[in-house]
Amino acid sequence: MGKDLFRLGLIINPVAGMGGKVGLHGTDGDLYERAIQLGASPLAADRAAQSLFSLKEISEKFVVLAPPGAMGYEVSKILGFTTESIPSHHQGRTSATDTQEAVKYMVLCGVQLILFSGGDGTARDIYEAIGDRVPILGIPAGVKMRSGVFAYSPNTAGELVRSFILDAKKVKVHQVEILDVAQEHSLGENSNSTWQPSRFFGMAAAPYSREYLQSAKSMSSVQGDVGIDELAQEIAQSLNPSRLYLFGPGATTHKIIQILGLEGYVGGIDAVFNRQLVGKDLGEHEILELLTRFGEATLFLGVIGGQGFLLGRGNQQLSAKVIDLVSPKNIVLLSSAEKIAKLFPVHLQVDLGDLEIEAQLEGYREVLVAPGRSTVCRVIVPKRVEAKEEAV
Amino acid sequence: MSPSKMKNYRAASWDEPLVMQMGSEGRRGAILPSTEPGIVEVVGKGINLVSPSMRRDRLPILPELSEFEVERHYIHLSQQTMGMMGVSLFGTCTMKYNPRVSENLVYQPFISQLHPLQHEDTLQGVLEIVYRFDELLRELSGMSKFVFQAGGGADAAYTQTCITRAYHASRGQLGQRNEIITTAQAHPSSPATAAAAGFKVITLPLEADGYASVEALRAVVSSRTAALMVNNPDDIGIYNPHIKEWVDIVHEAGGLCFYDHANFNGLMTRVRAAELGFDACMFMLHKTFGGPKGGGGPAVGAYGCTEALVPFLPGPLIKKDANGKFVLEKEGPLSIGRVREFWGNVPVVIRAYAWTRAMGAEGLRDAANISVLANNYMEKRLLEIPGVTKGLPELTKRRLEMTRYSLGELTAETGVSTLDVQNRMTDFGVDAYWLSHEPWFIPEPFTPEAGELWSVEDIDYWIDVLAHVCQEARDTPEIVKSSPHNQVVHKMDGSGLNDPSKWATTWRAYLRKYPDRTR
Repeated sequence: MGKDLFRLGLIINPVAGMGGKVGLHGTDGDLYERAIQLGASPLAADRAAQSLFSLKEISEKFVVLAPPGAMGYEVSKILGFTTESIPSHHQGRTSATDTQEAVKYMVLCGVQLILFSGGDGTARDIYEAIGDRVPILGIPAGVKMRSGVFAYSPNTAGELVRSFILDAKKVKVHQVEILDVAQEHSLGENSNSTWQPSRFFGMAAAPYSREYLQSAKSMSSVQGDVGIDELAQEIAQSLNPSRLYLFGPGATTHKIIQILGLEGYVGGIDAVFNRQLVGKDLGEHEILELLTRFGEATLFLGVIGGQGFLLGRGNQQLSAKVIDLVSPKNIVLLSSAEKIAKLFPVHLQVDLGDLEIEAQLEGYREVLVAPGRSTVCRVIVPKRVEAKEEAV
Repeated sequence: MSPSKMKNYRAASWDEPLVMQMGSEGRRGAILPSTEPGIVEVVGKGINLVSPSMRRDRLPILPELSEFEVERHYIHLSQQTMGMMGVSLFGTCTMKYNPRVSENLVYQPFISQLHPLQHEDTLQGVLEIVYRFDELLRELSGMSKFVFQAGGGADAAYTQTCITRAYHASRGQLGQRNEIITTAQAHPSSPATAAAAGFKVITLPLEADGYASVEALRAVVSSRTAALMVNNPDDIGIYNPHIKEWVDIVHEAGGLCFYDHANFNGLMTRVRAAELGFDACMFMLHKTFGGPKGGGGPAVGAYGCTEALVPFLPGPLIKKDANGKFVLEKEGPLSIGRVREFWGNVPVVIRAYAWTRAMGAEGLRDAANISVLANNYMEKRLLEIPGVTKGLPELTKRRLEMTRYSLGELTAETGVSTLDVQNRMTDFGVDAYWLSHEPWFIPEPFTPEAGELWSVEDIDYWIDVLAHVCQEARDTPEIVKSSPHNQVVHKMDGSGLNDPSKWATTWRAYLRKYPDRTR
């Protein structure tokens, strides 16, 4: 049926967003059962319907591929779209595995865009299944939505899908961060704190919404960040062949690895010596070994948007011991100017569990944003009352 | 307060082709008689008066029209000019009316027919005006000398970076001092001109008080510091009270300090850059001082500095000799040379002189007070509109001028963006507002600024139009998203803006790119 029609994957996480109203940080894992007990009700389907409504006028131009029932098929059918159901084993409540199987199947069926309704947990499940092979777009319906795949609102998601269907060339697809609350914080002990650190999982592809950005005074439009691209080039060309370089997780640092023509891991720590990869997705122990073997090293660290942490979340491999051996003066921070501009105020925390090392990192540190251009961020050490008492 | 009645505005839309596509072969405005034989006998053929090397071998491609058609076409174009005669609360620019009396003055032959290469004895009047205006700006800033060569604010900032270079070179420190420090909400021409002059740029981020912190400055100042370039207030609108300490920190490290006075309106007669310790400053005559602003054309960035930097100024300098005569003095050996031709855009200097003399010191102070009041009045009413928030709601200190507002909440609720609202507002006879410098650090920004010009009725109307459009965003979002509807041109498809094959800025380029579509 309809080979020439646009193939839109739709997946609804029917339990997304339920935790928020009952004071839980998401509905991942067992939290779902508690959310139901506390009286939560589904929201993602409503949001998806709201988002898809604007596509009714162009319904002859696309076909929806969706998992059965509440995971997408029902909503799509109610709106009167041509809908193909994709096989699923799920019964009753859905799990991460259902989502992952469904999107893998969609990719096999050649979908051109996957629209999902959910939060960071759903985005991460999809990303882990299909990476950046197909652009994904999130209808904001979760409790946590720090990943870059989410539209502002259900309506803007619908608009973006509409432009994508009508003329995919007009919509830019760019790389965005997939972030989710770090596992160790999603349950229990810290649930009283208002702020939850997040972890970086990787870079997904997503359609970009500001393509008509222009104004009376500026005619420039956003086309990725030329400054940070040039900086990555400059750094790649100026590496000292007899020095060890460590690269923290994130797209900015990974860009340098790519320019060097190396196969690193964007979500982990990589090591380069003499322009060769000498370690990929390293653990703390392996990093310490490399540091002992090679001596002096430079660590390139990217500032990860929405994370709020420079060290101690999402990159625990870079432990106090590692930082001590590298030495804080040999840490080079990198970020796009835009990412820094969106942090207000530009404060980043470090949590290494070692007051002495943390104190060396504290204060304003330079962040490079382009060749010859830099800014500063303020590194903050969280106050640990108990730790101080112990020290006394 | 009852909202103003929305104006049933309709822009003129003549929908005419380009002048190159009008007319017909052979049509002429005026047909002149042939030269009489007697005259040819005496002076020869007219064509021989043009040197052979300058003669065209082919006639230029020009439209062929009657005089009436030409006049009609250009009148239509002038009627279709968008903006600047509506209510124009355009942030960062302090838009002002340009009094007709000043315009008339500079069109008089005794100004318009002058040439800068005339003997200076025949230029005494105009030299005196420029000299006196220099004195007025010295009074407002505490600086020792002003020059008017720079063709705008960014050009004046570039003058500063060139002088920074020359100053450190003269002390043998240019190799070492290669960093210029600026702040995130300063005008982007500061980092841009610093980079253009070969300096590394360090940008200090905005912090919780509404400006960058002293600690951040201390962390980056070093023996590599060449200069500090700041606005105060910057586009957040809050005056940085630590500015003297900033200047001291940079001076102790051996750097120069430049005050970009693009945002001078709320400060007129209240601060003097030199008294704060600055080495140089810049005023925009085409904004703050009532001169016309126009696309990088007739603008002036007046650059002033303290005695220590005068030897580096671009020349010639206008001076007064012992007999009271005004003389043009050639620049000295340390000068950076020219940043533009002659002594700058003199008609704008004359307009600014006329405006400043008409205002007087009291008038300038009143204007500053009124504009501060107007901006804070706007804030109160703007924040009452559902969907409008302050870009940084944490900042509660009183402002001296504009700040960034956000329509992020409206966009999340309705899908209508700040660009849509900007377009739609022009349907009611107000000019498109200023969004924000890039990168945007708050969602869906807009930056209105009311100077002393605008009446409370104008300001209220502007706010009522915004409130009306925000309500439309909820009731009839399609109308807002597809706007403008009453303007000269309707919503543009902007997708080709970055693709040079999709547009042409000259007729020649158009023919080259679309050879099949001639006339």
